[in-house]
Amino acid sequence: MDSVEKVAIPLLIVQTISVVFLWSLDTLGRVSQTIFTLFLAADLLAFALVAHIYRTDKAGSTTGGSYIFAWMTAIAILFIAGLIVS
Amino acid sequence: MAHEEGERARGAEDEVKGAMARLAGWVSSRTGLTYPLLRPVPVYSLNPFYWLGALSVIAFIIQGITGVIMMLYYIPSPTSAYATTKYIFQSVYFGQFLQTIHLYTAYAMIFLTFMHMMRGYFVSVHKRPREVMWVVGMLMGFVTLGFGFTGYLLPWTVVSKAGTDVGVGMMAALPPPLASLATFLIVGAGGDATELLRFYDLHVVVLPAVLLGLLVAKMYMLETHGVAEPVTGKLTERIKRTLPIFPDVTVYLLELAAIFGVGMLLVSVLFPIQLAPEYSPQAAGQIAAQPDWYFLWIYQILKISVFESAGIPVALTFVTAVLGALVVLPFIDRGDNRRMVERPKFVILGVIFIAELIVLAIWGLLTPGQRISNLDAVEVLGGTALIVTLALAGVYAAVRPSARSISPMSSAAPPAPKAGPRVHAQEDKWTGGAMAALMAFGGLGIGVSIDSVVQIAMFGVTTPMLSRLSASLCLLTAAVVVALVLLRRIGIGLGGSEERTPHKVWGKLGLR
Repeated sequence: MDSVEKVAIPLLIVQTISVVFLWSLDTLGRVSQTIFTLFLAADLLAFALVAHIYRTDKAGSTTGGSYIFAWMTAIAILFIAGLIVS
Repeated sequence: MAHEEGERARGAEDEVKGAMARLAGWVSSRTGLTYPLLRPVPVYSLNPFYWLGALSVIAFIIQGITGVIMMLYYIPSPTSAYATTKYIFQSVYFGQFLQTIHLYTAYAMIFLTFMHMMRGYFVSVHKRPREVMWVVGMLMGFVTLGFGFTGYLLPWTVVSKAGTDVGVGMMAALPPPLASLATFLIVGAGGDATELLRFYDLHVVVLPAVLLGLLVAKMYMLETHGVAEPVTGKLTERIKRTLPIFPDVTVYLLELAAIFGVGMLLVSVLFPIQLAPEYSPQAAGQIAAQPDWYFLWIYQILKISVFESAGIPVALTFVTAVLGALVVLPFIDRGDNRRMVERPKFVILGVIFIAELIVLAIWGLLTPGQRISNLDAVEVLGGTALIVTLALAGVYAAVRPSARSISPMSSAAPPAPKAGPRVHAQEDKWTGGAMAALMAFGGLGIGVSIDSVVQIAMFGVTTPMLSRLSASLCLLTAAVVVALVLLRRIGIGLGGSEERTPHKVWGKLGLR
Protein backbone atom coordinates (compact mmCIF):
# COMPACT_ATOMS: atom_id res chain seq x y z
CA MET A 1 0.00 0.00 0.00
CA ASP A 2 1.27 3.48 -0.71
CA SER A 3 1.22 6.26 1.86
CA VAL A 4 -2.09 7.65 0.63
CA GLU A 5 -3.87 4.32 1.07
CA LYS A 6 -2.26 3.73 4.47
CA VAL A 7 -3.86 6.87 5.84
CA ALA A 8 -6.93 7.14 3.67
CA ILE A 9 -8.38 3.70 4.42
CA PRO A 10 -8.47 4.07 8.25
CA LEU A 11 -9.81 7.59 7.86
CA LEU A 12 -12.57 6.43 5.55
CA ILE A 13 -13.47 3.70 8.05
CA VAL A 14 -13.61 6.29 10.85
CA GLN A 15 -15.76 8.56 8.70
CA THR A 16 -18.16 5.72 7.86
CA ILE A 17 -18.54 4.80 11.54
CA SER A 18 -19.14 8.42 12.51
CA VAL A 19 -21.72 8.93 9.77
CA VAL A 20 -23.59 5.79 10.86
CA PHE A 21 -23.47 7.04 14.44
CA LEU A 22 -24.73 10.47 13.38
CA TRP A 23 -27.83 8.92 11.83
CA SER A 24 -28.78 7.61 15.26
CA LEU A 25 -28.88 11.08 16.83
CA ASP A 26 -32.06 12.96 17.61
CA THR A 27 -30.94 16.36 16.30
CA LEU A 28 -33.64 18.42 17.98
CA GLY A 29 -31.70 18.57 21.23
CA ARG A 30 -28.80 20.88 21.86
CA VAL A 31 -26.45 18.11 23.08
CA SER A 32 -27.13 16.01 19.99
CA GLN A 33 -26.42 18.97 17.74
CA THR A 34 -23.15 19.57 19.58
CA ILE A 35 -22.15 15.93 19.05
CA PHE A 36 -23.09 16.22 15.38
CA THR A 37 -21.01 19.38 15.06
CA LEU A 38 -17.94 17.82 16.69
CA PHE A 39 -18.15 14.65 14.60
CA LEU A 40 -18.68 16.65 11.43
CA ALA A 41 -15.60 18.71 12.33
CA ALA A 42 -13.60 15.50 12.82
CA ASP A 43 -14.80 14.21 9.43
CA LEU A 44 -13.84 17.45 7.71
CA LEU A 45 -10.44 17.38 9.37
CA ALA A 46 -9.97 13.79 8.18
CA PHE A 47 -10.96 14.84 4.67
CA ALA A 48 -8.50 17.75 4.78
CA LEU A 49 -5.72 15.36 5.82
CA VAL A 50 -6.50 12.96 2.98
CA ALA A 51 -6.51 15.90 0.54
CA HIS A 52 -3.19 17.16 1.91
CA ILE A 53 -1.54 13.76 1.64
CA TYR A 54 -2.88 13.35 -1.89
CA ARG A 55 -1.45 16.73 -2.90
CA THR A 56 1.97 16.23 -1.37
CA ASP A 57 2.19 12.70 -2.76
CA LYS A 58 1.30 13.98 -6.23
CA ALA A 59 3.87 16.76 -5.93
CA GLY A 60 6.55 14.11 -5.35
CA SER A 61 7.18 14.69 -1.65
CA THR A 62 5.88 12.97 1.46
CA THR A 63 3.86 14.24 4.40
CA GLY A 64 5.90 14.15 7.63
CA GLY A 65 5.03 11.60 10.31
CA SER A 66 4.79 14.28 13.00
CA TYR A 67 2.40 16.25 10.79
CA ILE A 68 0.11 13.24 10.36
CA PHE A 69 0.38 12.45 14.08
CA ALA A 70 -0.63 16.01 15.04
CA TRP A 71 -3.54 15.91 12.63
CA MET A 72 -4.69 12.48 13.88
CA THR A 73 -4.45 13.73 17.48
CA ALA A 74 -6.73 16.65 16.62
CA ILE A 75 -9.23 14.24 15.02
CA ALA A 76 -9.07 11.97 18.08
CA ILE A 77 -9.62 14.95 20.41
CA LEU A 78 -12.73 15.95 18.47
CA PHE A 79 -14.11 12.39 18.60
CA ILE A 80 -13.36 12.06 22.30
CA ALA A 81 -14.97 15.46 22.95
CA GLY A 82 -18.05 14.22 21.05
CA LEU A 83 -18.17 11.06 23.14
CA ILE A 84 -17.73 13.01 26.38
CA VAL A 85 -20.57 15.36 25.44
CA SER A 86 -22.80 12.36 24.68
CA MET B 1 -8.85 -23.22 -17.47
CA ALA B 2 -8.19 -20.65 -14.81
CA HIS B 3 -6.14 -18.74 -17.34
CA GLU B 4 -9.07 -18.66 -19.80
CA GLU B 5 -11.46 -17.48 -17.08
CA GLY B 6 -9.04 -14.71 -16.17
CA GLU B 7 -8.81 -13.66 -19.82
CA ARG B 8 -12.60 -13.62 -20.11
CA ALA B 9 -12.93 -11.53 -16.92
CA ARG B 10 -10.32 -9.07 -18.18
CA GLY B 11 -12.08 -8.86 -21.53
CA ALA B 12 -15.40 -8.10 -19.84
CA GLU B 13 -13.69 -5.48 -17.69
CA ASP B 14 -12.16 -3.85 -20.78
CA GLU B 15 -15.59 -3.82 -22.42
CA VAL B 16 -17.07 -2.06 -19.38
CA LYS B 17 -14.17 0.39 -19.34
CA GLY B 18 -14.62 0.97 -23.07
CA ALA B 19 -18.33 1.60 -22.60
CA MET B 20 -17.63 3.96 -19.71
CA ALA B 21 -15.01 5.80 -21.71
CA ARG B 22 -17.42 6.13 -24.65
CA LEU B 23 -20.15 7.39 -22.34
CA ALA B 24 -17.75 9.88 -20.69
CA GLY B 25 -16.54 10.98 -24.11
CA TRP B 26 -20.11 11.51 -25.33
CA VAL B 27 -21.07 13.53 -22.21
CA SER B 28 -17.88 15.57 -22.47
CA SER B 29 -18.31 16.31 -26.18
CA ARG B 30 -21.94 17.39 -25.68
CA THR B 31 -21.57 19.37 -22.46
CA GLY B 32 -17.93 20.49 -22.48
CA LEU B 33 -17.56 19.32 -18.85
CA THR B 34 -13.89 18.38 -19.22
CA TYR B 35 -12.99 21.62 -21.00
CA PRO B 36 -10.73 23.58 -18.64
CA LEU B 37 -12.89 26.63 -18.04
CA LEU B 38 -10.45 28.24 -15.62
CA ARG B 39 -6.81 28.87 -16.42
CA PRO B 40 -4.08 26.88 -14.61
CA VAL B 41 -2.84 28.40 -11.38
CA PRO B 42 0.83 29.10 -10.52
CA VAL B 43 2.35 27.13 -7.65
CA TYR B 44 3.23 30.30 -5.71
CA SER B 45 -0.46 31.03 -5.28
CA LEU B 46 -1.05 27.82 -3.31
CA ASN B 47 -0.94 29.83 -0.12
CA PRO B 48 -4.01 30.53 2.04
CA PHE B 49 -3.47 34.31 1.73
CA TYR B 50 -4.17 34.02 -2.01
CA TRP B 51 -7.47 32.27 -1.33
CA LEU B 52 -9.13 34.59 1.19
CA GLY B 53 -11.60 35.71 -1.48
CA ALA B 54 -12.36 32.10 -2.42
CA LEU B 55 -12.93 31.29 1.25
CA SER B 56 -15.39 34.15 1.55
CA VAL B 57 -17.20 32.73 -1.49
CA ILE B 58 -17.29 29.36 0.29
CA ALA B 59 -18.76 31.12 3.33
CA PHE B 60 -21.35 32.64 0.97
CA ILE B 61 -22.22 29.19 -0.41
CA ILE B 62 -22.64 27.79 3.13
CA GLN B 63 -24.89 30.73 3.93
CA GLY B 64 -26.87 30.11 0.77
CA ILE B 65 -27.49 26.48 1.74
CA THR B 66 -28.36 27.16 5.38
CA GLY B 67 -30.37 30.24 4.40
CA VAL B 68 -32.50 28.36 1.86
CA ILE B 69 -33.34 25.71 4.48
CA MET B 70 -34.35 28.41 6.96
CA MET B 71 -36.45 30.13 4.29
CA LEU B 72 -38.71 27.04 4.32
CA TYR B 73 -39.87 28.02 7.81
CA TYR B 74 -39.32 31.77 8.13
CA ILE B 75 -42.17 34.26 7.60
CA PRO B 76 -41.07 37.89 7.08
CA SER B 77 -43.75 39.77 8.98
CA PRO B 78 -43.45 41.58 12.31
CA THR B 79 -45.99 39.27 13.90
CA SER B 80 -44.40 36.02 12.71
CA ALA B 81 -40.68 36.72 12.18
CA TYR B 82 -39.63 36.14 15.77
CA ALA B 83 -42.00 33.19 16.26
CA THR B 84 -40.72 31.40 13.15
CA THR B 85 -37.11 32.14 14.08
CA LYS B 86 -37.78 30.65 17.50
CA TYR B 87 -39.51 27.69 15.88
CA ILE B 88 -36.45 27.00 13.72
CA PHE B 89 -34.25 27.35 16.78
CA GLN B 90 -36.24 24.99 19.00
CA SER B 91 -38.39 22.70 16.88
CA VAL B 92 -36.63 22.09 13.57
CA TYR B 93 -34.08 19.30 13.24
CA PHE B 94 -30.60 20.87 13.21
CA GLY B 95 -32.35 24.25 13.65
CA GLN B 96 -29.94 25.66 16.20
CA PHE B 97 -27.00 24.32 14.20
CA LEU B 98 -28.31 25.97 11.03
CA GLN B 99 -28.82 29.35 12.67
CA THR B 100 -25.45 29.23 14.42
CA ILE B 101 -23.55 28.28 11.28
CA HIS B 102 -25.47 30.86 9.22
CA LEU B 103 -24.50 33.60 11.67
CA TYR B 104 -20.85 32.64 12.09
CA THR B 105 -20.24 32.11 8.37
CA ALA B 106 -21.76 35.57 7.83
CA TYR B 107 -19.24 36.99 10.30
CA ALA B 108 -16.48 34.96 8.65
CA MET B 109 -17.51 36.22 5.21
CA ILE B 110 -17.27 39.84 6.35
CA PHE B 111 -13.96 39.22 8.11
CA LEU B 112 -12.45 37.29 5.19
CA THR B 113 -13.61 39.93 2.71
CA PHE B 114 -11.92 42.59 4.82
CA MET B 115 -8.72 40.51 5.10
CA HIS B 116 -8.81 39.91 1.34
CA MET B 117 -9.12 43.63 0.71
CA MET B 118 -6.35 44.60 3.13
CA ARG B 119 -3.99 41.95 1.80
CA GLY B 120 -4.65 43.27 -1.69
CA TYR B 121 -3.98 46.79 -0.43
CA PHE B 122 -0.63 45.89 1.11
CA VAL B 123 0.66 43.79 -1.79
CA SER B 124 -0.70 46.29 -4.34
CA VAL B 125 -2.93 44.01 -6.37
CA HIS B 126 -4.91 47.12 -7.30
CA LYS B 127 -2.18 48.34 -9.64
CA ARG B 128 -2.18 48.15 -13.42
CA PRO B 129 -3.86 46.16 -15.01
CA ARG B 130 -6.13 45.13 -12.15
CA GLU B 131 -7.69 48.53 -11.30
CA VAL B 132 -11.24 47.56 -12.30
CA MET B 133 -10.93 44.22 -10.49
CA TRP B 134 -10.19 46.18 -7.32
CA VAL B 135 -13.23 48.43 -7.82
CA VAL B 136 -15.47 45.39 -8.42
CA GLY B 137 -13.99 43.73 -5.32
CA MET B 138 -14.77 46.82 -3.25
CA LEU B 139 -18.36 46.76 -4.51
CA MET B 140 -18.55 43.11 -3.49
CA GLY B 141 -17.34 44.15 -0.05
CA PHE B 142 -20.15 46.70 0.25
CA VAL B 143 -22.68 44.08 -0.84
CA THR B 144 -21.29 41.77 1.85
CA LEU B 145 -21.85 44.49 4.44
CA GLY B 146 -25.34 44.91 2.98
CA PHE B 147 -25.97 41.22 3.69
CA GLY B 148 -24.99 41.81 7.29
CA PHE B 149 -27.14 44.92 7.61
CA THR B 150 -30.27 43.38 6.10
CA GLY B 151 -29.87 39.96 7.74
CA TYR B 152 -29.41 41.43 11.19
CA LEU B 153 -33.03 42.63 11.28
CA LEU B 154 -34.67 39.38 10.18
CA PRO B 155 -34.88 37.54 13.56
CA TRP B 156 -36.86 40.57 14.83
CA THR B 157 -35.23 40.46 18.25
CA VAL B 158 -35.03 43.56 20.40
CA VAL B 159 -31.27 43.78 19.80
CA SER B 160 -31.51 43.38 16.03
CA LYS B 161 -34.42 45.79 15.51
CA ALA B 162 -32.96 48.46 17.79
CA GLY B 163 -29.54 48.08 16.13
CA THR B 164 -31.03 48.33 12.64
CA ASP B 165 -33.00 51.41 13.68
CA VAL B 166 -29.69 53.10 14.50
CA GLY B 167 -28.49 52.44 10.94
CA VAL B 168 -31.78 53.45 9.34
CA GLY B 169 -31.83 56.61 11.46
CA MET B 170 -28.44 57.56 10.01
CA MET B 171 -29.97 57.67 6.53
CA ALA B 172 -32.12 60.61 7.61
CA ALA B 173 -28.92 62.64 8.02
CA LEU B 174 -28.06 62.28 4.35
CA PRO B 175 -28.77 65.21 1.99
CA PRO B 176 -32.58 65.40 1.39
CA PRO B 177 -32.80 63.79 -2.09
CA LEU B 178 -30.47 60.95 -1.09
CA ALA B 179 -32.24 60.47 2.23
CA SER B 180 -35.64 60.19 0.50
CA LEU B 181 -34.32 57.73 -2.08
CA ALA B 182 -32.51 55.57 0.48
CA THR B 183 -35.55 55.54 2.76
CA PHE B 184 -37.86 54.61 -0.11
CA LEU B 185 -35.61 51.85 -1.41
CA ILE B 186 -34.55 50.32 1.88
CA VAL B 187 -37.31 50.98 4.35
CA GLY B 188 -40.39 51.88 2.33
CA ALA B 189 -43.28 53.91 3.66
CA GLY B 190 -45.41 51.23 5.29
CA GLY B 191 -43.86 51.02 8.74
CA ASP B 192 -42.35 47.89 10.31
CA ALA B 193 -44.08 45.42 7.98
CA THR B 194 -42.76 47.06 4.82
CA GLU B 195 -39.34 47.55 6.35
CA LEU B 196 -39.00 43.87 7.28
CA LEU B 197 -40.27 42.72 3.89
CA ARG B 198 -37.86 45.06 2.06
CA PHE B 199 -34.95 43.83 4.16
CA TYR B 200 -35.94 40.22 3.51
CA ASP B 201 -36.23 40.78 -0.25
CA LEU B 202 -32.90 42.57 -0.33
CA HIS B 203 -31.28 39.81 1.75
CA VAL B 204 -32.52 36.78 -0.17
CA VAL B 205 -33.00 38.08 -3.73
CA VAL B 206 -31.42 41.41 -4.63
CA LEU B 207 -28.09 41.20 -2.82
CA PRO B 208 -27.34 37.56 -3.77
CA ALA B 209 -28.10 38.40 -7.43
CA VAL B 210 -25.86 41.49 -7.33
CA LEU B 211 -23.07 39.59 -5.58
CA LEU B 212 -23.20 36.75 -8.09
CA GLY B 213 -23.11 39.22 -10.98
CA LEU B 214 -20.08 40.98 -9.50
CA LEU B 215 -18.43 37.63 -8.76
CA VAL B 216 -18.80 36.55 -12.39
CA ALA B 217 -17.32 39.87 -13.54
CA LYS B 218 -14.40 39.56 -11.14
CA MET B 219 -13.72 35.94 -12.09
CA TYR B 220 -13.75 36.92 -15.75
CA MET B 221 -11.17 39.62 -15.11
CA LEU B 222 -9.13 37.23 -12.97
CA GLU B 223 -9.06 34.79 -15.86
CA THR B 224 -7.94 37.62 -18.14
CA HIS B 225 -5.18 39.02 -15.92
CA GLY B 226 -4.25 35.93 -13.92
CA VAL B 227 -3.11 35.80 -10.32
CA ALA B 228 -0.88 38.71 -9.23
CA GLU B 229 2.75 37.73 -8.77
CA PRO B 230 4.19 37.82 -5.25
CA VAL B 231 5.97 41.08 -4.46
CA THR B 232 8.82 39.58 -2.46
CA GLY B 233 11.04 36.54 -2.55
CA LYS B 234 12.59 34.78 -5.46
CA LEU B 235 10.26 33.87 -8.32
CA THR B 236 11.87 30.58 -9.34
CA GLU B 237 10.82 28.37 -12.21
CA ARG B 238 9.57 25.84 -9.67
CA ILE B 239 7.01 28.20 -8.11
CA LYS B 240 6.13 29.82 -11.45
CA ARG B 241 5.07 26.40 -12.74
CA THR B 242 1.30 26.16 -13.18
CA LEU B 243 -1.09 23.49 -11.95
CA PRO B 244 -4.39 22.55 -13.57
CA ILE B 245 -7.57 23.64 -11.83
CA PHE B 246 -8.70 20.02 -11.67
CA PRO B 247 -7.68 18.04 -9.70
CA ASP B 248 -4.66 19.82 -8.16
CA VAL B 249 -6.06 23.24 -7.32
CA THR B 250 -9.54 21.88 -6.62
CA VAL B 251 -8.12 19.48 -4.03
CA TYR B 252 -6.15 22.33 -2.45
CA LEU B 253 -9.25 24.48 -2.29
CA LEU B 254 -11.27 21.61 -0.82
CA GLU B 255 -8.58 21.13 1.82
CA LEU B 256 -8.75 24.83 2.73
CA ALA B 257 -12.55 24.73 2.71
CA ALA B 258 -12.54 21.72 5.05
CA ILE B 259 -10.21 23.46 7.50
CA PHE B 260 -12.35 26.61 7.30
CA GLY B 261 -15.43 24.46 7.98
CA VAL B 262 -13.74 22.90 11.02
CA GLY B 263 -13.00 26.38 12.34
CA MET B 264 -16.62 27.44 11.89
CA LEU B 265 -17.92 24.28 13.56
CA LEU B 266 -15.61 24.65 16.55
CA VAL B 267 -16.57 28.30 17.00
CA SER B 268 -20.24 27.30 16.87
CA VAL B 269 -19.66 24.66 19.57
CA LEU B 270 -17.64 26.96 21.80
CA PHE B 271 -19.93 29.99 21.41
CA PRO B 272 -23.48 28.74 20.77
CA ILE B 273 -25.90 31.54 20.00
CA GLN B 274 -28.87 32.38 22.19
CA LEU B 275 -32.02 33.92 20.81
CA ALA B 276 -32.52 37.41 22.26
CA PRO B 277 -36.03 38.49 23.43
CA GLU B 278 -38.62 39.55 20.87
CA TYR B 279 -38.75 43.18 19.76
CA SER B 280 -41.28 45.51 21.28
CA PRO B 281 -41.04 49.29 21.64
CA GLN B 282 -41.06 48.90 25.43
CA ALA B 283 -38.24 46.34 25.42
CA ALA B 284 -36.27 48.47 22.97
CA GLY B 285 -36.47 51.42 25.34
CA GLN B 286 -34.66 49.44 28.02
CA ILE B 287 -31.50 48.59 26.07
CA ALA B 288 -28.66 50.66 24.66
CA ALA B 289 -29.10 50.10 20.93
CA GLN B 290 -26.00 49.36 18.96
CA PRO B 291 -25.27 47.71 15.62
CA ASP B 292 -23.42 44.45 15.04
CA TRP B 293 -19.61 44.43 15.44
CA TYR B 294 -18.76 45.23 11.81
CA PHE B 295 -20.64 48.55 11.99
CA LEU B 296 -19.48 49.47 15.49
CA TRP B 297 -16.70 51.68 14.13
CA ILE B 298 -19.17 53.95 12.32
CA TYR B 299 -21.45 53.94 15.35
CA GLN B 300 -18.55 54.97 17.61
CA ILE B 301 -17.60 57.85 15.28
CA LEU B 302 -21.20 59.10 15.40
CA LYS B 303 -21.09 59.08 19.21
CA ILE B 304 -18.25 61.61 19.32
CA SER B 305 -19.62 64.92 20.61
CA VAL B 306 -18.56 66.95 17.60
CA PHE B 307 -20.51 64.66 15.28
CA GLU B 308 -23.72 64.48 17.31
CA SER B 309 -27.04 65.70 15.87
CA ALA B 310 -26.09 68.50 13.46
CA GLY B 311 -22.65 66.97 12.90
CA ILE B 312 -23.95 63.60 11.64
CA PRO B 313 -23.82 64.64 7.94
CA VAL B 314 -20.18 65.64 8.50
CA ALA B 315 -19.39 62.26 10.04
CA LEU B 316 -21.18 60.41 7.25
CA THR B 317 -19.35 62.48 4.67
CA PHE B 318 -16.06 61.60 6.37
CA VAL B 319 -16.86 57.86 6.43
CA THR B 320 -18.03 58.00 2.80
CA ALA B 321 -14.83 59.82 1.84
CA VAL B 322 -12.66 57.13 3.49
CA LEU B 323 -14.57 54.31 1.77
CA GLY B 324 -14.63 56.25 -1.50
CA ALA B 325 -10.86 56.71 -1.30
CA LEU B 326 -10.51 52.95 -0.92
CA VAL B 327 -12.69 52.36 -3.99
CA VAL B 328 -10.61 54.69 -6.18
CA LEU B 329 -7.31 53.61 -4.61
CA PRO B 330 -5.90 52.29 -7.92
CA PHE B 331 -6.19 55.80 -9.33
CA ILE B 332 -4.50 57.38 -6.29
CA ASP B 333 -1.70 54.88 -5.65
CA ARG B 334 -0.48 54.75 -9.25
CA GLY B 335 3.23 54.01 -8.95
CA ASP B 336 4.64 50.85 -10.50
CA ASN B 337 6.35 49.66 -7.35
CA ARG B 338 4.33 47.06 -5.51
CA ARG B 339 6.68 46.26 -2.65
CA MET B 340 5.68 47.37 0.85
CA VAL B 341 9.19 48.58 1.61
CA GLU B 342 8.88 51.11 -1.22
CA ARG B 343 5.41 52.35 -0.23
CA PRO B 344 5.83 53.58 3.37
CA LYS B 345 3.07 56.22 3.11
CA PHE B 346 0.41 53.80 1.96
CA VAL B 347 1.55 51.02 4.28
CA ILE B 348 1.47 53.30 7.33
CA LEU B 349 -1.94 54.70 6.28
CA GLY B 350 -3.23 51.14 5.84
CA VAL B 351 -2.05 50.01 9.26
CA ILE B 352 -3.49 53.16 10.88
CA PHE B 353 -6.81 52.41 9.14
CA ILE B 354 -6.88 48.85 10.52
CA ALA B 355 -5.78 49.96 14.02
CA GLU B 356 -8.43 52.71 14.15
CA LEU B 357 -11.15 50.31 13.02
CA ILE B 358 -10.20 47.83 15.75
CA VAL B 359 -9.95 50.54 18.40
CA LEU B 360 -13.28 52.12 17.40
CA ALA B 361 -15.04 48.73 17.36
CA ILE B 362 -13.69 47.66 20.78
CA TRP B 363 -14.37 51.10 22.21
CA GLY B 364 -17.91 51.02 20.83
CA LEU B 365 -18.47 47.59 22.37
CA LEU B 366 -17.28 48.79 25.76
CA THR B 367 -19.28 52.01 25.77
CA PRO B 368 -22.78 51.25 24.46
CA GLY B 369 -24.95 54.34 24.34
CA GLN B 370 -22.30 56.58 25.94
CA ARG B 371 -21.40 59.92 24.42
CA ILE B 372 -17.70 60.33 23.65
CA SER B 373 -16.11 63.66 24.45
CA ASN B 374 -13.99 65.35 21.82
CA LEU B 375 -10.94 65.22 24.08
CA ASP B 376 -11.26 61.44 24.59
CA ALA B 377 -11.67 60.96 20.85
CA VAL B 378 -8.55 62.97 20.09
CA GLU B 379 -6.54 61.16 22.78
CA VAL B 380 -7.58 57.65 21.80
CA LEU B 381 -7.73 57.95 18.02
CA GLY B 382 -4.78 60.35 17.81
CA GLY B 383 -2.79 58.17 20.23
CA THR B 384 -3.45 55.08 18.13
CA ALA B 385 -2.33 56.83 14.96
CA LEU B 386 0.77 58.14 16.72
CA ILE B 387 1.78 54.77 18.19
CA VAL B 388 1.32 52.99 14.86
CA THR B 389 3.20 55.69 12.96
CA LEU B 390 6.13 55.66 15.39
CA ALA B 391 6.36 51.86 15.46
CA LEU B 392 6.27 51.58 11.66
CA ALA B 393 8.64 54.51 11.21
CA GLY B 394 11.09 52.58 13.41
CA VAL B 395 10.73 49.45 11.30
CA TYR B 396 11.18 51.45 8.08
CA ALA B 397 14.21 53.22 9.50
CA ALA B 398 15.80 49.82 10.12
CA VAL B 399 14.83 48.16 6.87
CA ARG B 400 14.64 50.86 4.25
CA PRO B 401 18.13 52.44 3.98
CA SER B 402 19.37 49.84 1.53
CA ALA B 403 16.05 49.53 -0.29
CA ARG B 404 17.12 51.92 -3.01
CA SER B 405 19.64 49.39 -4.26
CA ILE B 406 16.97 46.77 -4.67
CA SER B 407 15.67 45.74 -8.01
CA PRO B 408 12.03 44.74 -8.27
CA MET B 409 11.10 41.16 -7.97
CA SER B 410 10.36 40.64 -11.58
CA SER B 411 13.92 41.56 -12.49
CA ALA B 412 16.82 39.14 -12.64
CA ALA B 413 16.85 36.93 -9.58
CA PRO B 414 19.80 37.09 -7.16
CA PRO B 415 22.23 34.14 -7.07
CA ALA B 416 20.92 31.05 -5.36
CA PRO B 417 21.96 30.49 -1.71
CA LYS B 418 24.55 27.84 -1.03
CA ALA B 419 22.41 25.77 1.31
CA GLY B 420 19.75 23.46 -0.09
CA PRO B 421 16.21 24.74 -0.60
CA ARG B 422 14.78 22.58 2.18
CA VAL B 423 17.13 24.08 4.77
CA HIS B 424 16.25 27.59 3.65
CA ALA B 425 12.55 26.76 3.65
CA GLN B 426 12.87 25.58 7.27
CA GLU B 427 14.81 28.74 8.20
CA ASP B 428 12.14 30.87 6.54
CA LYS B 429 9.42 29.14 8.51
CA TRP B 430 11.20 29.63 11.83
CA THR B 431 12.05 33.24 11.08
CA GLY B 432 8.54 33.92 9.83
CA GLY B 433 7.15 32.26 12.98
CA ALA B 434 9.39 34.36 15.21
CA MET B 435 8.31 37.54 13.43
CA ALA B 436 4.64 36.52 13.65
CA ALA B 437 5.07 35.96 17.41
CA LEU B 438 6.77 39.35 17.75
CA MET B 439 3.99 41.01 15.79
CA ALA B 440 1.46 39.32 18.07
CA PHE B 441 3.30 40.61 21.15
CA GLY B 442 3.55 44.04 19.55
CA GLY B 443 -0.16 43.96 18.75
CA LEU B 444 -0.91 42.95 22.33
CA GLY B 445 1.25 45.82 23.54
CA ILE B 446 -0.55 48.30 21.29
CA GLY B 447 -3.97 46.94 22.26
CA VAL B 448 -3.36 47.00 26.01
CA SER B 449 -1.73 50.47 25.77
CA ILE B 450 -4.76 51.85 23.93
CA ASP B 451 -7.15 50.17 26.35
CA SER B 452 -5.21 51.63 29.31
CA VAL B 453 -5.34 55.10 27.76
CA VAL B 454 -9.09 54.70 27.23
CA GLN B 455 -9.58 53.56 30.83
CA ILE B 456 -7.50 56.46 32.14
CA ALA B 457 -9.44 58.90 29.95
CA MET B 458 -12.74 57.51 31.18
CA PHE B 459 -12.11 56.85 34.88
CA GLY B 460 -9.13 59.03 35.69
CA VAL B 461 -5.51 58.20 36.57
CA THR B 462 -5.10 55.24 38.93
CA THR B 463 -1.91 53.45 40.00
CA PRO B 464 -2.94 50.01 38.64
CA MET B 465 -3.86 51.56 35.30
CA LEU B 466 -0.58 53.48 35.11
CA SER B 467 1.32 50.26 35.89
CA ARG B 468 -0.65 48.48 33.18
CA LEU B 469 0.10 51.22 30.68
CA SER B 470 3.81 51.15 31.57
CA ALA B 471 3.96 47.35 31.28
CA SER B 472 2.23 47.36 27.91
CA LEU B 473 4.50 50.11 26.59
CA CYS B 474 7.52 48.09 27.78
CA LEU B 475 6.14 45.02 25.98
CA LEU B 476 5.64 47.06 22.82
CA THR B 477 9.13 48.53 23.04
CA ALA B 478 10.65 45.09 23.65
CA ALA B 479 8.78 43.67 20.65
CA VAL B 480 9.97 46.49 18.40
CA VAL B 481 13.59 46.19 19.65
CA VAL B 482 13.70 42.40 19.25
CA ALA B 483 12.12 42.73 15.79
CA LEU B 484 14.80 45.22 14.77
CA VAL B 485 17.56 42.97 16.14
CA LEU B 486 16.07 40.00 14.31
CA LEU B 487 15.89 41.97 11.07
CA ARG B 488 19.56 42.91 11.46
CA ARG B 489 20.48 39.29 12.15
CA ILE B 490 18.62 38.12 9.07
CA GLY B 491 20.56 40.64 7.05
CA ILE B 492 23.87 39.36 8.48
CA GLY B 493 22.80 35.76 7.95
CA LEU B 494 22.28 36.41 4.26
CA GLY B 495 25.94 37.09 3.66
CA GLY B 496 28.06 40.19 3.17
CA SER B 497 26.85 43.73 3.63
CA GLU B 498 26.29 44.15 -0.10
CA GLU B 499 23.69 41.38 0.11
CA ARG B 500 21.95 42.76 3.17
CA THR B 501 18.90 43.93 1.35
CA PRO B 502 15.26 44.27 2.30
CA HIS B 503 14.46 42.30 -0.83
CA LYS B 504 16.02 39.26 0.79
CA VAL B 505 14.88 40.19 4.26
CA TRP B 506 11.21 40.23 3.26
CA GLY B 507 11.75 37.06 1.28
CA LYS B 508 13.30 35.45 4.33
CA LEU B 509 10.32 36.45 6.44
CA GLY B 510 8.10 34.60 4.02
CA LEU B 511 6.01 37.75 3.43
CA ARG B 512 4.65 36.72 0.07
